[in-house]
Amino acid sequence: MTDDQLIQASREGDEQAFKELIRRYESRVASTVIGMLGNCTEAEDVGQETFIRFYNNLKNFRGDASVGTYLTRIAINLSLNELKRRKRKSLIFFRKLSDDDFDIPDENSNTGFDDNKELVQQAIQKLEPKFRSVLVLRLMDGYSTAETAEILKLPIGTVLSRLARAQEKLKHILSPYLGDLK
Amino acid sequence: MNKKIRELLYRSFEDDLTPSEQQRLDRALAESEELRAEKHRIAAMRSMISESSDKTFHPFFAEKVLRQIREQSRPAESFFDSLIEVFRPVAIAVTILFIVLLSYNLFKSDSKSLASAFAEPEIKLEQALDPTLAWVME
Repeated sequence: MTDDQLIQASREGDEQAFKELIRRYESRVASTVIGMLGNCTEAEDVGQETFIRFYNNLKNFRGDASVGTYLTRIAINLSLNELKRRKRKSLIFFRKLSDDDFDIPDENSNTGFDDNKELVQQAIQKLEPKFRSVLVLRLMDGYSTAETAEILKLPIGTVLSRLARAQEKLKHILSPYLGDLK
Repeated sequence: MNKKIRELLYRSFEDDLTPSEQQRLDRALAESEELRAEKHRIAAMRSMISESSDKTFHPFFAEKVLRQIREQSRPAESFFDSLIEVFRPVAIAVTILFIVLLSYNLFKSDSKSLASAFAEPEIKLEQALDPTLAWVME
């Protein structure tokens, strides 16, 4: 069945059709949300909320954007809201987020990461949300710069400059681990 | 490293350079070993980032979403519905107790009146009025 057929069936109350849509797009939403928030409980909650919002808005979904792009837009907005909530929470408790919050071990430490994946995910969490969102959409989710600009409702020039700055910052954070590439 | 060249280097990964910009970058790359190393590092980092994305949530993700959708589509109980639910057993118990007490009072009393059901002493109208008035009437 095509996405349109599944959406039509879901609108008519077919639960299995909506389940199939979730199965199809879980990986895309997971990639966005986990990229933005890290692999944590909140990420799964935001992922669930993304599909619930989609379900509640099925009647309004006109198909101007693809289902994947539509879901990614919801996921990124909810992730940014979650990051704002975290920031507010840290302000309430008079606690400033510092580099230590992300626990990137030094390059010689044995208590470090088993693989590059975890290391990169932790490093991405150190970026400001506006840089992180561009990086996640473009490099992790594989959207083009034009699609990234459309999802974030930003000019392409802004996306390109944020992407360059995000990579600069990330390269600086990861520089001890990119040693063998120097 | 020249800031403009660095910007061109990053943009080159996005296929966003004009022919003249591409030419300028190629020339800079040919001249600078440091720039070539930088390009190599950026490419490696981009590859690490794209390989690092997690593509799944915990098992039964779809089922969890559907369960939440089912829960939200159930009609929400109003505050008063909840109150009724909580106090209904109490109200029934109090009513039964009330009826038992009324029956007991009626059974014990000689006269079968409403006052006796409520175990009130039977008083005359004059007694109920002000004692002074009762005295004046005498």
